[in-house]
This record gives sequence, structure tokens and C-alpha cells, in this order.
Amino acid sequence: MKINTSKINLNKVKRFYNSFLENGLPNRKKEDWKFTDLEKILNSNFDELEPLREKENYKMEAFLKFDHYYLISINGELVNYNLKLSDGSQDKKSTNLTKISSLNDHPIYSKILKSDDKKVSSDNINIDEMLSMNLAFTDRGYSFQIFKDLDKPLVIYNFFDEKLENKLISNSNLISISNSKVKIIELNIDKSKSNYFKNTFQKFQINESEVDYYFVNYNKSNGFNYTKNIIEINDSKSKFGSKLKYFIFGSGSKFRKDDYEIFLDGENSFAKINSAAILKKSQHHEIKTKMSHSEPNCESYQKIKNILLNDSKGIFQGKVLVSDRAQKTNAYQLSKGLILDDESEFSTKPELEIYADDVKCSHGSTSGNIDKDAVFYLMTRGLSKKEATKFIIKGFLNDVVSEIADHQVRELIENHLEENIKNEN
Amino acid sequence: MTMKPKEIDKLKDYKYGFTTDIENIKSPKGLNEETIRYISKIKNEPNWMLNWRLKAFNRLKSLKEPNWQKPKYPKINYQELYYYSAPKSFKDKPKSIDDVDPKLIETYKKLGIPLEEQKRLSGVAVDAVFDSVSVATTFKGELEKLGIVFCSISEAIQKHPELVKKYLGTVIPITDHYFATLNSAVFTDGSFVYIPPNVKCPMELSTYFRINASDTGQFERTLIIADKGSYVSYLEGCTAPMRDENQLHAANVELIALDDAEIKYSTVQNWYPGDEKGVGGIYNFVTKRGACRGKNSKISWTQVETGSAITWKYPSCILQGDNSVGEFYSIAITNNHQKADTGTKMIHLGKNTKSKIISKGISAGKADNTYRGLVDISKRAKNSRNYTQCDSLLMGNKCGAHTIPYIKNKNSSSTIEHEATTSKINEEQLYYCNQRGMDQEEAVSLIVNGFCKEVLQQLPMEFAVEAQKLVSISLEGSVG
Repeated sequence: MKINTSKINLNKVKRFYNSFLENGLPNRKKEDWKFTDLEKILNSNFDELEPLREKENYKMEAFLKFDHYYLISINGELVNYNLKLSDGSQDKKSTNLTKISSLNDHPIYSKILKSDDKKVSSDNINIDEMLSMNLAFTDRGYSFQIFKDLDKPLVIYNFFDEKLENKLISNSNLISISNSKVKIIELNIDKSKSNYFKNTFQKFQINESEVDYYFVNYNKSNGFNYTKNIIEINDSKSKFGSKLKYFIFGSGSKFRKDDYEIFLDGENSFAKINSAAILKKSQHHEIKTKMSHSEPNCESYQKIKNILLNDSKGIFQGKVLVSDRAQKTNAYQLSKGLILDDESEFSTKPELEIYADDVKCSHGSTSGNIDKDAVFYLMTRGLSKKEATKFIIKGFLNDVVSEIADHQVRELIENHLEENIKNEN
Repeated sequence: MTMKPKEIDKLKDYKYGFTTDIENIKSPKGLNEETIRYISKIKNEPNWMLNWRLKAFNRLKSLKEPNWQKPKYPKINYQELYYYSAPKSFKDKPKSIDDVDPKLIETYKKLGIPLEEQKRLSGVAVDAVFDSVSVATTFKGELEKLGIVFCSISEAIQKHPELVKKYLGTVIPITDHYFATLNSAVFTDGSFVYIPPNVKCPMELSTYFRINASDTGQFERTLIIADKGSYVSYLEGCTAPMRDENQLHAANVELIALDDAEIKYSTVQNWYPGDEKGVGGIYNFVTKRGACRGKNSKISWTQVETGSAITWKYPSCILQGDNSVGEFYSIAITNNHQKADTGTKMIHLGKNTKSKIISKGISAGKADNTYRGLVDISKRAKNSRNYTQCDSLLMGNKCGAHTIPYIKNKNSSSTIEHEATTSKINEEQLYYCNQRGMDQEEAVSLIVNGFCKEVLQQLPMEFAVEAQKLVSISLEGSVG
């Protein structure tokens, strides 16, 4: 696979492009990519990728029925938004939104651009293959800050249109939330019919806040997605203890690797990552997490549930790192795969790296088929085999879904999963 | 460099062990073809064996030392090592038991090792006989009646070349990783066991390994074959005297179980771990692998790892035969500056294969303890099962405990369950013990022994007692 750079000017970002060329795409020799050989996957699906430069500017409408604030992007390009708070204030003290159209608009990238350093350590950022690729081609994204409680959920609509055949989308988003309580729903609505590759870098900063974040891949697509998320949870001042609940519902994409690095840098912080997905038709999904506990009294929970059908691959690599300062840490992790056919695979690497003694850390991982006794039991109660199976699948995923506190969101997700179960069997 | 023929002749007389006569004989320093030819010649090996070694050596030239492991170590200069183990001259050694470090004597007393043994272990004694050889001689008659072959691998190469040729290197090929290949090229001795069909070995076979000389690497090779319907339990113990330099121990152990056979392999590893400051100690880079070749075969590994500066080993099972079973029970204790990166690989290839992994890691002082394991259930291995449990205990906040399992399930009829926990000693339990009049150290020892119980009870009786004491000794000074 080649990247066609004939139409773009790489002068300013030459060193990132060169470093990407030098290192190439990550392959299975890299520990982080052991189960997902990106080099091989992209080579077998693309002859050539062309960085997307066209910027769409048509309007798309927010379509969720309940009342909400919104951001709308098309192919990663921000086109519309409504962040006008209900109390009438839209000054810079409550919310602030910036559109990113080059590296210079990007607070972190502009710093990297200026410095000669290979690493920008203060931002927990390590310039690896994927980031240098992102740095070389990023031309779109958004950055927003919230300083005030949101009375309605904020929905981020990411539309992808039909013109993406063999395109490479590189984008970067920054989200910063301070002193507020917010609910964010990110929806991917993919109308593309053909293969494309999207390389996204996102950074979240959460200060003295409570954030519920839901990522939903709304429909089936041929998109290949890699997203790196750096999430810093920090409350240096009050020790109030920020809370993040992050839900991932990725069913539908052909390829996903969602990489999360979560830094619990404030005392009493709380982080939760939950995921539920139904994978089928050769889909390949990986979730990779690194939960870094560096301050005492923090809690983290991870729960990953995958249903695997028709030659699909589900992967979970999850690490819990507890530094010697982080006493009284509670960290739990659970990954479960329900493998429904012999062509599918579920691989996990749950990892604990612990340097503090007064902690409770554990992980569990299971994989296997549906319990035959459970099916039998349901059949004795009058359900058909198909119904019984569906019932158990739903129950398996409900473990994650039931943790969604907001009923509007829960309904949305239940429909999304129902849609994915329905098409099966 | 070659040796005078006279000296080689002299060596041949001491097939079963080394006496004072040969104490000062060493192979040429360094890793090269000469050394390998020397080792092969001194052991009077047939040509095919030499060629096998040389093939491994050629392969070694193109290999690099692995570097993915957690414990990093200073670069080993392979040209500065002696590959044929022979003790240094007497002037370096303690002349009598009184010269031996009292700490070491204390440890031996606690272990209940008799004085004669103590002398031998601390390097005082004159002879350096492998226990395996003496045991073999003692019970040789009885074992021979049953058709069991239990001898050193060098002897097996001479007397049972067909068996060695057929099985050596079939589980750990000479093209394996760096240390395994190094071992294939330069291995010096080790045990060989063959249990004929339908024979249950009536006694535990055991070997005691020790590293005696300085500047030497120890490369033993063990090959155990359990023919159809047979059973054997094999014990291995390891000790080494205290030295300031780090010594390399790169052994290969291959187990082969044919139809309905069972092999139980237990290790109590107590190599010198280095002192409190982390100076000296053994690098224990061992490759242990068992193949359940036949139907209904079973291989069970039990290990108690308390010694070595760095332990780096993954006793593994390749479950090829249908209905075969692999088990791995492990206790790894690290204190002071010790580092352990150990675990297992269970590779399920046959149908209805089962594996069970119980791993207990205890970390104290400034030590690092890692469980690293692989469970791989292939597409063909229908109805397979794995259960894994890894528990870690931390004492103090200068140490680390890590768990890195790789879990792959590639078919829908197999089930994998894995769980791991990390915590510290329960304070209520400690308080309860203190209340009953136990001091802190006794209480910790009791609780830790309880923590390890699941593994300890897998050990044969005589080993279990020793292991229990070892557990308490290893943790001495880590509390409070």
C-alpha cells in the first residue's frame, strides 16, 4: 500500500512524514499491535490511499429526537454546531469551540511543530508511527471547552459520505471539560459504501468534572478506523474526584482499533470503560486500554463484552498500571467473548503492572460458547432455540447496557444493539 | 585450543562425576567451534551428536538475544564464559565448614539439610557428584528390572543413541530461541529418563543441580520420555554457592508423553539470588517444554522458584494428542533485588484437551515478579478447556507484581477462564495471628504458606516440606 502525496504540500510536516515512511505501519512485531497487524490489514485492503483534502460544506441536520446540543462534522470536518446554552449564555466562560484546519490551529500540534523534540512529554504524548502519520496529514478537527454544567446532552454527529473510496482521513479533536457535569454522545453515521482509512487522535482533559461519554457507531460501514484517545483526569485543586464513564458501542465497522490511555492524575478520581459489541462478517475490532493510576484512592473499572460471529475477530488488550504512589487503588477489569462460530476468534491480553502494595486489582477474562444448559432451560419454558439464543445474547450485553443511567441514551443503544442482533441468525 | 590426549583419557574414567583429579580442568574460554568440539570430544560423543551441536551453533550465529522480557540484565559476554563446567582451584574455596558464611549455614539448618550435604552445597567438599548419578547407581538394579533408563544424558548418548536421536530436539528444536539454541550447542550434562510402555515408575526420580565454579555457565539438558501407558514423577532441585558475579544457567528440559502416559515434573529452584544489594546471583534462563504427543497423555509442571537473581522461564505444554492434559502449578517468590518473569504456555492442538494454570507470585523488598503466560486454543482443538488463576501478593511499596497473560480462543466449542488478583497480606489475618502470640515473621510465613497451599500440595511429600521452609526463609527480613 502506498500513500499518494502528489496533490499535497508536505513541506511543513516533512519530518513527520519522513518518520512515518521510515517506520512504516505498525505490524505484529510491535507488542501493541500483536493481535492486529495493521500493515498486513491495510496492504490487503488498499493499493493506494489518498489523503482526503476536499472539505464538504453542505448542511446536515441533527436528527435525534430528544432535546440536545450538537456538533456536526462531515468526513471529520466541522460544519455546524449549536452550543448555545439554554440560559442564553454563549460567552467564553461557559463553552468555547474552535475549528481546526491546520496544525497551527491545534494547541498541541502547533507546539510539536515548533519544538524539535521527538517527544512532547508534558502532554503524555508519545510520537509513534500512527501519530507521526496523523501529524503529517491532519487538516481537520475541532477543539472545544466546557466550563459549565450542560442541562442537555451534547451530541457529536460524525457523518461520512459516499466520496471516500480509498481515502485517508486524518483528524484530531480536543475536548476539555472543567467544573461541569456533562453527557456527550458521539454518533458515527457512515454512508460510505467503500473502503477508507481514518486515523484520529483525540485528547480529553477532565478537571473537577463528571463526564458520561457514549461512543456509538450508528450503522454498518466499510470504514477502517484507528483512534488514539488520551484521557487526562485531573483535579489538582479540590481533590473533589472527577468521574469519567466511557461507553463504546462499535458494532458495524469493518475494522476498528480504539486505543485509550487514561491517566488518573487526581486523587479520588474514577474512570470506567465499558464496551459491548456484536462482530460479524470478518469484522476486526480491537480495544486497547491503559489505565494509569498515579495518585492514591482512585478507582477504575473496565468491562468489555464481545459477541463473535462469521469469521470475526475480537481483541482486548487492557493494562492496569499502578505506580508506587497510588496506594488504596481499586482497579477491576473484565473481558468476555461469546464465540458463536468456529471461524471467529477472541484474543485478550489483560495486563496488571503494579508497584504499590495496598491495592486491590484484579482482572478476569473468559471466552466460550453459549451455555447449552441455559438454552435448554429457556427451551423448556417454551422459547424456540433461536429465541433462547437471542435472549441470552441480549442478557450478555445487557450487563453493559444496564449501566447507562440516562434512559434516552439507553434506548438509543438498545435499538442499536437490537438492530445488530436482528440481522443475525 | 585442544587438550593433551592424556588428560582427555583421564577424564573418560570419571564418567559419573568429577573428583579432585579433574577439578582444575576447564574447557577453553569462549564460545566457538573449538569449544564445542572440545566438549563433544571430552564426552567421547559420536559424530552425529557433534554435528547436531555444530548445526545448533551455526544457527546461533544468526540469532539475537531476546529483549522483550521485563527484567533487563547487563550484557553477557559469552566469550568470557567457560562452557565445560569445572570448579576453580581450591584456594578460592572455603577450607572448612567454619569458613562458610554463617548465614548460609543458618539457611541450611533451617532446611534440615544434613551436615555432609551442607559441606557439599557450600563448596567445601571435595567431590561434586550430581545426585542424579548417585541415585541412579543406588537404585539402578531395581529400575533396570523394570526396563527404566535413568542416567546422565552423556551416558544415554553412548548407550541409547536410538532413543536420544529419535527424541532429542523434537520438543525444543535447535532453531528455537537464543538460549535454547545456545544450550543445544554447548550442553554439558543432564538427565535422561525413559519409561517403557505400561510401566509405572515405583519411585520419584530426582536430580540435584548445582553451579560450583565461577565464570561458568551451566547448560544442562534433560530429556524425559514416557512411553505408552507409563508414569513417572521427576524432581529437580537446584542450589548454587554465593559468588559476587552473575552466573548464567541456560538449561533445556524436554518432556515427551506418548499415549496414556503421564509425566509429573517438580522443581524447587533455590539458586543463589544475590545479596541484599542485588550483587551476584544466578541468571536462570531455562527453556522447559513438554509435548503431550499421545492420546490421553498428561504433563504436569510444578515449580517453586525462590532463588536466582533473574528467573526467566516458561515451562510449557504442547497438547497435541486428543484428550491430553497440561497442568502448571507455580510459586515464585522474589525478595531484595530479585526479578522473576515466569509463567507457562498451553498450546491446545488436539481435541478435548484441558489445561489448568495456578500461579502464585510473592514480591517483597525491591523485587519484581511477573507472570507471563499464553493460552492458545487452535481451530482444531474442539471442546478444549483452560482455567487460569494468577494471584500476586505484594509486601511493601518498593516491589512490583505484574500479570501479562495472552489468551487466544479460536473455536466456538472451547472455553477459557482466566482470573488474576493482586493485593497485599490481609491485615486482619496478620492481627489475628499476632493475637495468638505469633510474631510478625511467623505470621507472615503462615499466611504466605496458606496463600501457596494449592501449589505446595502438588509437590511430592519430601519436597513439600522443604518448599514450605524455603518459602518462609525467602521472605525473611521483608516484613516490618
